[in-house]
Amino acid sequence: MKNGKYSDFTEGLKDILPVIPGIIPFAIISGISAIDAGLSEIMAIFLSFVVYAGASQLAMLSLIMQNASDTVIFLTAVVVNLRLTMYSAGVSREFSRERFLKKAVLSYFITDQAYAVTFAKLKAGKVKDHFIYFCGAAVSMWAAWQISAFIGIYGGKIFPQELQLDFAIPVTFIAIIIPLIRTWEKIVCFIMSGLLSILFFNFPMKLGMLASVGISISAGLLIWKYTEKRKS
Amino acid sequence: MGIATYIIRASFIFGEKYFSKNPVFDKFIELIPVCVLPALIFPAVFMTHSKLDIIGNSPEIIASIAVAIISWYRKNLLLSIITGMTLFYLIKFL
Repeated sequence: MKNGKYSDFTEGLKDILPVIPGIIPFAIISGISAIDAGLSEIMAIFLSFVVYAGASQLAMLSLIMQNASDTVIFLTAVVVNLRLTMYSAGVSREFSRERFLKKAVLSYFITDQAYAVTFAKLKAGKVKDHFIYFCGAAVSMWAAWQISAFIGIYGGKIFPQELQLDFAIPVTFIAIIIPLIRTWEKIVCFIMSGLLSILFFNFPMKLGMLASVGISISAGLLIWKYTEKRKS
Repeated sequence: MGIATYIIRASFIFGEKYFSKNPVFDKFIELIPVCVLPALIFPAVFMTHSKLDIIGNSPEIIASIAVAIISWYRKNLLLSIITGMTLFYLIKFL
């Protein structure tokens, strides 16, 4: 059976394949962390299915573990996810300027790889039905994620609490973000947000995090404007 | 939550057409991860119980510095994570 739809689907699957080994450990960790955070297995699976948002899921879990209120968790999920969604829109734009996805973008916007890969094909114009292609890529990745998360949720019991396996979350975040810090305003953002989040740690309902992010983004934009002006 | 996620995702596909002309908006988007992630990283690394801060040679801090250095020089995400966690465990349990 080699009609258009079938081959487009497998084309998508084929293209997303190299990305999958990268997200499997991430997914397993998210499963383990959900259990560590005190969620029941059912809740953890629910989280994995319903939210399915990679980095933002881990961010949310960090907050849950610190007993933030539901509102803050939701808002943070929105903020972090906003970045994912806005950037996925941006990636499509990037494609008109660049032919290849930078590895930095790929490794960071993990759940947007299905998207990114789709838009790559869109520009190359090789595929008949982009929606089917996207299905091939996205569904495969989703399946890989869910299976891995499931393994983490049920297999995670093997690992004792003392192992602090969830330290892998900040480790992963560090490995993702450091390569992206290449301009002055980003350096400032990174340090400022980090320091403020420690300073504001005891704010009620974890508003400290939102405040840190808000202040550091504003500072970053100001610095950027200043450096732009200096150039001209 | 899942529905909200989906709506947000969908709306930005369409919104992008209107916003893409604005360089400040672009920069704003670019700065979001660089501000959100450290807000999660720093407390997790430096505040393991209350505030072990700079002084501490806690396994968290050392492993984090190592991960930062490795990830700066090597593109392989998995390598960075595994090395970091290995170092973390070595310091923690030895």
